[in-house]
Amino acid sequence: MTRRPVYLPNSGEPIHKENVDFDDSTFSNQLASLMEAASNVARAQTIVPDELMPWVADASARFSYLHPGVGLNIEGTLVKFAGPGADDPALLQDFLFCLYRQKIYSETLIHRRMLIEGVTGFANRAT
Amino acid sequence: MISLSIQVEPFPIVEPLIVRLQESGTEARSQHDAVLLDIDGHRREYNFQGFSFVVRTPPDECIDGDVLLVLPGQTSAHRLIRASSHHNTLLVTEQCDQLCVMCSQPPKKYHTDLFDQFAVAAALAPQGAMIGISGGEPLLHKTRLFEMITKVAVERPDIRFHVLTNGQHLEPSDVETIFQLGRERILWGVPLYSANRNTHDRIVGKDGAFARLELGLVTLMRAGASVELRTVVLQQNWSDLPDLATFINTRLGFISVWALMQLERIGYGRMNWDSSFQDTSTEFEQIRRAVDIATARGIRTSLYNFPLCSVPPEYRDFAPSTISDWKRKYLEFCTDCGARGTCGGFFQWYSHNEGFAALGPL
Amino acid sequence: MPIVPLKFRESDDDLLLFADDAGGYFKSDSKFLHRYALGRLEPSDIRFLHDHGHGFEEIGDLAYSGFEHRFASRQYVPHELDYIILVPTLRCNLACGYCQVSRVNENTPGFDWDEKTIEAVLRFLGNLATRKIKIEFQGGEPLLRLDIIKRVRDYCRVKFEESEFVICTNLQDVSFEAWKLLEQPDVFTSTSLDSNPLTHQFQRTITAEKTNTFFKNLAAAVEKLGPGKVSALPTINPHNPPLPQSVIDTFLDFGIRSIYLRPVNYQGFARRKFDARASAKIWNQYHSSFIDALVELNWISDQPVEEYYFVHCLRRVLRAGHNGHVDLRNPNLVGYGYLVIDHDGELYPTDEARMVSRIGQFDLSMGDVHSGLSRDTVDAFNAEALNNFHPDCVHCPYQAFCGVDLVDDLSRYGRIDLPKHLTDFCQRHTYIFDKIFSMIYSDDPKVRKSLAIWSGSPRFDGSLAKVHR
Repeated sequence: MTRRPVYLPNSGEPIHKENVDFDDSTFSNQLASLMEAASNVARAQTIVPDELMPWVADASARFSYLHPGVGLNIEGTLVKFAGPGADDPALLQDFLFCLYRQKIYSETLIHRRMLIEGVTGFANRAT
Repeated sequence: MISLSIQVEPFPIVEPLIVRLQESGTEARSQHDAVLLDIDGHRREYNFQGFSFVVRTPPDECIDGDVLLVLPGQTSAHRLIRASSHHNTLLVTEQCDQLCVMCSQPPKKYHTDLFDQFAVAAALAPQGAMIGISGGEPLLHKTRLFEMITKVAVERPDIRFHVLTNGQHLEPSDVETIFQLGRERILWGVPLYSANRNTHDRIVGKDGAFARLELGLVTLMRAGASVELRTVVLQQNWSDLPDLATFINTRLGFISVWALMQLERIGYGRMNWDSSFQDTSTEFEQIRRAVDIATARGIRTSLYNFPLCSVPPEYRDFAPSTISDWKRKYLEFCTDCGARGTCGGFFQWYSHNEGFAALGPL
Repeated sequence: MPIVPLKFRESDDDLLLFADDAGGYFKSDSKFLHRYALGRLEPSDIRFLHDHGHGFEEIGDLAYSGFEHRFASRQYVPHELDYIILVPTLRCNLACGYCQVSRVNENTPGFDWDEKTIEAVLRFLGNLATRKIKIEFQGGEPLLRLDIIKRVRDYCRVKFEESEFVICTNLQDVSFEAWKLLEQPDVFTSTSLDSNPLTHQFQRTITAEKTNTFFKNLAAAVEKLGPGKVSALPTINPHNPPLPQSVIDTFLDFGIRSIYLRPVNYQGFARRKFDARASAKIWNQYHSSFIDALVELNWISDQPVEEYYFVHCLRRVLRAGHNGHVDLRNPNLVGYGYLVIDHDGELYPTDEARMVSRIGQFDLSMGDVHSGLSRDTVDAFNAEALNNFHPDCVHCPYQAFCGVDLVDDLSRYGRIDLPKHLTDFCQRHTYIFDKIFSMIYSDDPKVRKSLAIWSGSPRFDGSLAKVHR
């Protein structure tokens, strides 16, 4: 049995393929809907504040993982989004949140490790 | 009221003496046992190591198994352990470094060290007894206190202690000792009056007490100690109770129980009654909120010394009978009350015309 | 003053929910988020965070130690093995469409413990260090092997200081002898009651005659044993669910006030027959409507009702140390506190693991009762069974309340590294915690009444819904 997760762009909803045998006719159908969705490509861009620039790379990786249907292009402090729904303000906010989360995460990692080490001694699992 | 002292005929001793009274026909189980020979009215004569030891007490009073402290030249002995009671407390010192507005046992300057005698007495207590340790501030004599508890723990692993302390003298270096004594051995009764340090310091009459107490509580937490956090409800901390519940949830989740306590009208509590007593029979809101918050957070919460009729019905399960038998009384209207069996009643020194305004039989 | 790490999530009231690693939470607005994320907290922010246990002065002070204690209490630490699930037979006298465990027909030979296995099981129990034991008999239909149940029971009563037995039975065919067993004080009965008679018949009993027999036996059980000794679980098909009210009414008819709703578990052989695609969304909608129905009922009824798992999750939000449920723990270390002995003597860490192994997906067995316990496989598994550093969970404010279920992930997706937000486990639990927080922050007196009942306090205090502005 083949297990390949397939995603509709930006729907956040996986098409669950995991429990059925993978057959090509189903895949073709999905591909068709992907292409149809792709014809609705939207674009948007935002400027990343200087103080958040150190976390742009991590945040972009995280953002793309959460929104595999949206393309990201980073030029200096300018971030361009392309893909279905890319002009949705919620998506831009999500990118900002990714930046915040990465910053918070990296700046507080030392605290979190200390806490876990103090309590359970398995902080080395993070590496 | 049950008397905590007992008349004895002069006994020729130069050192404090511990005596356990045993009923007639039993064998002396230790060198401290006095075995009853004869009762003649109020006079009971015991055989103590071949000497005659005489106690005066009403003929119907049960004193079998009681442990007495007899001091040289005194005709009144302290009943340190009453075998038939669950409320035995050793007052190990009258010195204290706080001056709490509600103190029932105002501090004195001088200290007599009787820890050796207390250790002997505790080891003579009935099987499984929990013995209160009170003061003054017992931990002003921390080394001696720990020696005493350790000694009893070795001789009588079944005995447990309930130590009332202001927590000012617990230090990180005590963690190991307390840990070794064991979580089951000691229940630490520690007062905290407010999450606001100024309010707490004012109530206990000592600047910086809150900060010292925080360190003491960390010590107990790290030692895995069992703690009964005690908050006497006063006018001074009335509006602070909900915030205190939040403070306990965030900082003191390790405690075994949070006791919200009504004021005892004795000592400074009597002197400051008008400015301190909070009539919870007419106004319960802050306690209600404190109990709600703590309970939702999974912190066991208990109302000590509250007559049941002073508590709204849905909170009565939180109010066990807690007033010690020897200082408890009931009022006239209690005669007809259906809840008398589960209600702890009132302190002997409670004065109803200055007390709760809205009470009555349930 | 240092602030502990805060994670955040949007909520439906234009505010953000913030939570720390120890489960402390509050709501605030996006302005606060900007101040926090950019390191520009104001004195009023810092005061708020300090007062509510999200900050400390220095490592080791009371605020820090209290935080550490709450964090530690939320980490599950396995205790000694004292809970054993026994499957003395795989034979069953029902053939429910969704049967979660593989089962065989009543007359099929070779699916029961043989004498050698029975003796090995007793030996296994005899070697346990615990002084208290809980034994759960599953199947198949365990009452088909009353003789084995009695032998195990008699053995445990002598060997352990305290023992407790749960018989998971379909209550279809209860002999006089079986009733006598169920009536004993250390024996508890657990059965399936699929919502209402109609659904029960459709999903389980098929014929009206068998349905009647079951309901008659359930009534007799509640009557003879008392509601406290009988529990019943409804299995719900989320694609065709019964009306919440009809489920509640059916359970109340039998005096059962704690209802543990469970979706049909598409694993084992059940996936052959049912639509096996993930249905978290449909399930979540149904579950939410069920909770709403309970809220309405509790508002007017003086006999409260709960959904067991929802209440468990609510208490995990409010309290540290609420680690009692095997389905929601972090780390979720399996194979220590309890295990399963299958009909063939194989040992499994959980019932789910038994099913995963049985259908040949992965072998999660821990040896067998003859040759002994081997934890190598589950320990490798356990090493991954925590959410503390999971790249998805570290950003989730529900992390402290949540857990992991790798066996579930494995059984559904054949892997344990799917992005969490795509897993059924994460989707179901994200919904539950969203629902819980929407209720905690609700002003609706009906909601607050149910929250008070479910959290165990006389009233649900407003300060449990802190907002920092």
